Formats: sequence, structure tokens, C-alpha cells
Amino acid sequence: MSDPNRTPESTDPLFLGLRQVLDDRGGDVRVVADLAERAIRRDTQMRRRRTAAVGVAAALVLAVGVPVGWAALAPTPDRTVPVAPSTTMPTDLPTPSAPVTPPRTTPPTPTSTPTLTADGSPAPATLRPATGNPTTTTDEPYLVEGVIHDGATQIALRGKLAAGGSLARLAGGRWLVAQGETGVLYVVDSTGATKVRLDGGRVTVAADGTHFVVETLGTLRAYDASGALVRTLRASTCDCTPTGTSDADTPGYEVVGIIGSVVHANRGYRMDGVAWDVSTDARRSVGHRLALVDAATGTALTAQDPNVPSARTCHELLDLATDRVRWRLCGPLLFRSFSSDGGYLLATGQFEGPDGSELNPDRSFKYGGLVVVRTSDAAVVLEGRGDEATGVGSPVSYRMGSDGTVTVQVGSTAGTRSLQRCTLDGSCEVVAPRRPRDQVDIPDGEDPYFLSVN
Amino acid sequence: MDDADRRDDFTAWVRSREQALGRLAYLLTGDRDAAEDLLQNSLAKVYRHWERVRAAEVPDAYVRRLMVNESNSRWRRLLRRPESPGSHVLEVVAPPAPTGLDASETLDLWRHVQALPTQQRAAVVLRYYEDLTEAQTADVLGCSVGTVKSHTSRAISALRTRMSEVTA
Repeated sequence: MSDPNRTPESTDPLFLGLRQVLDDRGGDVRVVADLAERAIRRDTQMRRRRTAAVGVAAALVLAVGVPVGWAALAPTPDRTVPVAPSTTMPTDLPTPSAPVTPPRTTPPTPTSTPTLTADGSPAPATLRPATGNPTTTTDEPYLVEGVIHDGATQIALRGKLAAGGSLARLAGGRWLVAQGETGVLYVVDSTGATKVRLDGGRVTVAADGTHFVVETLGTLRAYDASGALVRTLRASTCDCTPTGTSDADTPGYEVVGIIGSVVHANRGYRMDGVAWDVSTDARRSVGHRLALVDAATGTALTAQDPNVPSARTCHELLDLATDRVRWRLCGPLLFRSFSSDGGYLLATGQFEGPDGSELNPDRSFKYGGLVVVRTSDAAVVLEGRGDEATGVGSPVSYRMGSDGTVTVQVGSTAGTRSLQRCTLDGSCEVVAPRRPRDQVDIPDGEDPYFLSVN
Repeated sequence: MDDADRRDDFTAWVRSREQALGRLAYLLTGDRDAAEDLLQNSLAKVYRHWERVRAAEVPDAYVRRLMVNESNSRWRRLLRRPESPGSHVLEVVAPPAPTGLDASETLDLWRHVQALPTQQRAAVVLRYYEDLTEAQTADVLGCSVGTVKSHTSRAISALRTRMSEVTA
């Protein structure tokens, strides 16, 4: 009996039908926007996001990274631009090769880990953004139109600091600002004057602002709050090059967060990491791949294994001191930050999951742009999502202080953004009025408000 | 090449190729939103490496490979930036009346193509829409010719089985 797959393609009805279907479906598609302009804007925004000190950076890198095998022809965007030392910066200090201390050999006491599921059920409270003029203030610093707002204090940035950006508080009244030129960071003083200019990749800032780390091509450079280079951890020490990839393409380290003087970083695509003390250069292995760390409580959120396809997205809350897992939470949540006191986790629920498996049957998201999860029991306590009927858009960025309120940049369906301060019961007051994005009609438009990341 | 020249050069190339790239993105994903995201992400990366892409003198092959890799990346699918209703990059018009298969067969076959595993679907699109040779397809997919043959054969077998189930 002949194999039906061996029928000549020119006469086989299936091949003919297949070509016809592909031609027809392809022919149905038209590009109706300025694709080049949109791509250029997206490139700019991708670079800014890498420069911005956001907790979600690790996940974003993986989300947009090119698979390793492609690296030879197309180096990943995350590690493309070799960075020359800035002329305004001190040169690198010699970095003695410190041995990596093996992880603690005492295994954690076996306990049952509670596993919970975030299935999209309604949260106890829903965000109810306010309208109108500002009626309150926020303790969370933010940057808008070149001015840092820190409580009652306003600091106008000087120099070439224009649209776009990110903001972090540094010790000694300084600020770390990425604004204007893509891929460039500025340490500014309490008057807004630029003191240090740094070229760099993604930045992570310690909660207390005493240190920050710039990650470039997998190499970490730690700076103190004045912008002086403290120490360097080179990608070549990572030992995380995937099999079959040249050493030149090592993914290197990927910073997760900083606790005191200890930088927690993942090792390439491996499922473990390193704790690097920038004050002593000592390194210790960490037996988990992490997504976020919290300085206030000494806990961390573990990351999903990027190497293993899984239909579910799960994270564990880990006590870094004891290695004990407090809970495991599965569901379509992409965690972005801890609250200042570590009592809550903030996530976006606009998350598809692998192959769209985390979407509702109608392909809508199960959660909105903000989901607040209590760290003590992994309960979803608040959700914020857009509502076309009322013209309220989804939360786009947020920061939770230790006072139990969340400062939220809320969108509108008209493309504007306002800053609001919301309690966990969902009620909100306006902190700063609606302002337009620079491009109101596309997702890659820049938001007007930049909340401090620490 | 200064920045303005770089933008102009890139823009001219995109405009000359955008319809073909839009169609490829749609066929690889089978979904307008996903295709828009894939297309913009891929072209953003192309723009980042524009000098290198231009120097390679094969931007189409480079972009095709980039798009397939992006499409296959499960990490890319985790985060998508949905377009707002007024900001779509692609328009998908109603399909024309079929010329060979009847309408239900056409719809069934398209659904079955979309249900193929990503690598098999990419192999089918590259071989039977882009008309690439097995060697060219292998280059785009970053695999051997034998693997392309395997992907294609399995895809065709699956489509044949599913279509026979439908007609039965």
C-alpha cells in the first residue's frame, strides 16, 4: 500500500488545499500603521525598561529574550551594546576572584508547603479610582515632567533630562534618574543637579538606597550612593554558559534585588543564584532562582524555571535565612514588587501564561493590571482593572508603602494617566491630575508619571 | 551612519517589506493581537541591530529567523502588550470565497494548521507559504534538514488525519 504522504505535492488535494488556505489567510492581512515608527518606539521602550530599576526586570528579560541558539547571529537585545566606561566615572577597581561558598549543607526541615491557586475569582476589594482634582498626597516619591515630588518637596531636574525615565531614591538625599537619553543614568543631588553620568544596562537599587547595581552584558557593577564604583562581578565568573554556547555568549548574572550590601542575582538560565556581598566581595551560592527579594523581611519570591515548559505559573515565598518555603501560589500573576514592609506583593494579572493557558476561555485576562497579595497567607486582597463602561483604564504602575496604601498610576481609555492613592478596601483619592501619554493611542507610548522604585 | 540615516534606512526597508512580514507574523501565530506583538517585537530587535542586519545583506532571512524564534519562545508569549482598539497595526479582512475547497473545509484546515505544535506550524508556513526549500527552512528554524522533513511530515500526517476525521 502506498504511503499517502508520498503523493506528489502538485496533485495532492491536501497540499493544494494547504497552500490555498495559507495564501488566502495571508492575503487577508494588511499592515495599517506606521510599522517602522512603532518598532523604533518599542526598541526605545525596551531599552528604557532595561535601564529602569524595576523588579519585574528579570521576567521581562526572559520574556523578550532571543533563544540561546540564535545568539551567534543575533546577540540578544539584553546584552548587545558593550558599555564603555563613562569618563565621569572612576575606573573599575581590581576584582579579586573570590571563591563561591557552597550553600548550606543542612537541608531545610521537611514541612508541607501550602499550595494555593489564584484562579481569577473576584478579590474581596476592587480598586475604585477617583476623578477630579487632587485631594491628597503620597509619601511615595515620583517624577513627572522633569520634577521629583518627594512629599512636600519638589526638585526640578537640571540639564538634558526630558521625557521617559525612572526614579530611585539614593542615600544622602541623592536620586538615581534615568530620563531622556536611552541607556544613561544620572546620579543627581538634592538640588536636582547631575553629579554623575553612567552608561549602563539594567539597574537595581537597594531598598535603603545605599547601593545600586548596574547589569551590563551579565557583568554586575556595584556603586555606592554617590555613584562611585565599589566592586565588579564579571559575567565570566558566572559559570552559567549553556552547553553548546561559546563563552562569549554567556548570559552572565541577572540581578534580582539587594538586601543591605548583599546583591542577589540569578545565574543565566540556571535554577540557582548567588548572593554577592559588595562590601567584602564574598559570594555564596543560593539554591533557588529568584524573582524578587524583600529587604524588610528577608524573604524572596522564587522564579519559574525558564527551561521547563509548564502549563501553570507558580511562585514560592522563601525565607532566605532558613530556606523554608512559606507558601506556593499558582496562577496568572506576574509579581513586580513587595510593599515597603514586605507585607504585600504587587503583581500584574495581564499575563497570558505559556501558550495562553492562563487566559479565560474568551482570551481575556483573569486579572487586571494590579493584584495585591498578602504575604502572610498568599490571599488576593485587592484587584484593579480597567472598565470601558466608565472610561477607567487599568493600573499601569504602582508602589505600596508601609502605611497600607498603594500609590497607583491609573490609565483611562482616553489614554491619559493620573496618580492616585488607594487603600486596600479599594477607595482612591487623586494625588496628581490626568496627564496624557506622549502617544495616547499605542501601547508603547510613555507614561507621564514615574514612581520611585524604592 | 548617523541616527537619522539609520532611521530612514530602516524605515525604507520596513515599508518595502511590511506587508509580507505582517502576513508571515499572522500565519505563524494565527491571531491578530499575537501577530502584532510578534511583528513589533521582532522589528524592534532588527532596528537595534540594524547595522549588523544590513551588513549581513540578507535582512529578510534574518528577520524571518528572528520572527520564528520569537514565535516559538514561550517566554515571549508570557507577556504581551495588547493594542488598544484604535491602535492596531494589522487589519485582517474577511477571507475571500474559497476557490478549491469548500468554506467549511477551508476553515477546518486553517484551524488544524493553527493547532499544530509551533515548530511544525512554522515549518509548514515556511515551506508552503514562503516557498522556502528544506535547507532554507532548516536555516530559519535553526535545525537540520532531517528535522525539517520530520516536522513537515508529522504536520502533514496530522492535518490529513484531522481532515479525514472531519469529512468522515
